[in-house]
Amino acid sequence: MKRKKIDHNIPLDLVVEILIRLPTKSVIKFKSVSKIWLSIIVSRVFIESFASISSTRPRFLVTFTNGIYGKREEKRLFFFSSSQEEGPESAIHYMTLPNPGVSTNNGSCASVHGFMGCQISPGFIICNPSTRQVILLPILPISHCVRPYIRSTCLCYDPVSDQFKAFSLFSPLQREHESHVQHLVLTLKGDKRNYSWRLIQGNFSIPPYYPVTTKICIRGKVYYGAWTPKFGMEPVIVCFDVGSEKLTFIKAHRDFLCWQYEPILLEYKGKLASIIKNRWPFEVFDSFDFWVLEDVEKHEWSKHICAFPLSCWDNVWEGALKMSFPGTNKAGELIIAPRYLQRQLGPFYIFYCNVETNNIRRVRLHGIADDEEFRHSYGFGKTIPGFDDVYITPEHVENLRVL
Amino acid sequence: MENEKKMITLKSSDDVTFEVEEAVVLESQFLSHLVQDCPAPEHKIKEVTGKILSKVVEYCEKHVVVVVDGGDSSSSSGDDLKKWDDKFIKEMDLSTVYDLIAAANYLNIQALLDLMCQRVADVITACKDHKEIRETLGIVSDYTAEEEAEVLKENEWAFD
Repeated sequence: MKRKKIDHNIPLDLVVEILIRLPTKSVIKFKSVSKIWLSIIVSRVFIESFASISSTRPRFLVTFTNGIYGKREEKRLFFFSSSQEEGPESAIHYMTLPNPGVSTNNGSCASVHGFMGCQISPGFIICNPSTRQVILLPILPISHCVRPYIRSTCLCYDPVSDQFKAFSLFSPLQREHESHVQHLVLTLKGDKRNYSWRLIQGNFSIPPYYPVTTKICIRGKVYYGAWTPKFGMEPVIVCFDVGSEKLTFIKAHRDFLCWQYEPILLEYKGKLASIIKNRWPFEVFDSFDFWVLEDVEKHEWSKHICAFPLSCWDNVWEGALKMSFPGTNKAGELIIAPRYLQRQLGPFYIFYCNVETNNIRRVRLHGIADDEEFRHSYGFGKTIPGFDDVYITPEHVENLRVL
Repeated sequence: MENEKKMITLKSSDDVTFEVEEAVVLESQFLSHLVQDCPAPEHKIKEVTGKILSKVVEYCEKHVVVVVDGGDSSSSSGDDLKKWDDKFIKEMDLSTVYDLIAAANYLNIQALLDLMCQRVADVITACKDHKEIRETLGIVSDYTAEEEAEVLKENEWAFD
């Protein structure tokens, strides 16, 4: 035998070194090579190393739908991923889910440590695009006399305890009690048949509040904008600590809540930041206020105004001009991404904004609904008004963990 | 300054000797400790053959030169180095790659280990299915037919 055997020649830890360098799909595919390979691939050490290597070569998770007004049975939710390094490499298809829901993304469909929470009718699902695991969470245990908040549920992750949780809010229907928000948590641990929502107790030290914006999970904390004690009074950012399940308020500026549900929060160089466009979210904008929480203890925010020429949007379909700010790249440039796909066949662009120089540049992501055959077979752009939602999460980690 | 370069002799398991500059040896964490702890002019590396050690030396010499010359690590020297690495691995058969992986691991040369592991990973990625991998890498499956069918069914989607 001239050919040498990998398992005989190379110690197991070096086989691990090789396998963590494979693309996700190959790893899954090659579980069938041998029992030794399978045992490596499903081991905790391997899964952690794989996620950690993946975090050094960040990817965009691109999630989009084929029209929110199409026929129920034809609706889909697509998951693609694209390298954050600029180049002609085409996006990789992860998975496609049937999507009977009315609207899916709503700005809260972000990937958290490789997993994603999506509001799909009839309920909330957690999925891992890398392994195609999909978990439907139990329906919220709330009666008809309470109101769950729109886009209320989100997936969150506590890196200290390495624990995923789902977090949700509801409040009484009566207007005079609407600020008495109740908080529900579901810990994604153990047998899935026993998953259950529980009410968090002991958070009565915070005043009543009225939640407004979508939620974002950053480093073990969930943030969202709210009014306290009632609608239109004091603006705050609510901070939910995923590990301790305690809620606190951070003083905010009134402007933060001027566009209501619009997602406004992001992470900027390790700090919480907020972006407020100078125009109504569906309009073309040429400036925005950029706030950074400089001191968490003192609740101090710095404000910077970014202005740029409208010409940076030239040749971008008007309908695609509703933009989101999902985060930053390694160089600290803000990522600006369309919330809707173009109606016509054409390139898909994302934009990078340098807040220090006010310079905006655009980069094409290849393989995002820019193929005629793909668009035709899933009916893209056919529906009226044809808004095909798209949501981008930067720094997506490919995680092979199975919950 | 030129004359002050300290030379070190490395001897392989089969007694092939290589005279290299100290800076080259420092690419290996294992050898830098060895050289510091025991300042002999010659060091025997019992775990590595002459054939493999020559490759290791070739790699380290190339990488150390670039770092010294391009102190500001200009992008062109980075590109050149990448091209050189590509050529370096392209000419190698898999069995040499395995031996180099073991050597890089033993001598603790992270960049060489990364390069070699990536090379095997690329070979694996290019295989269309598990059978081709077994064939290419000479792996004997320990699955029974039933077990294999079950694993394949579970992960069927990845073969699209």
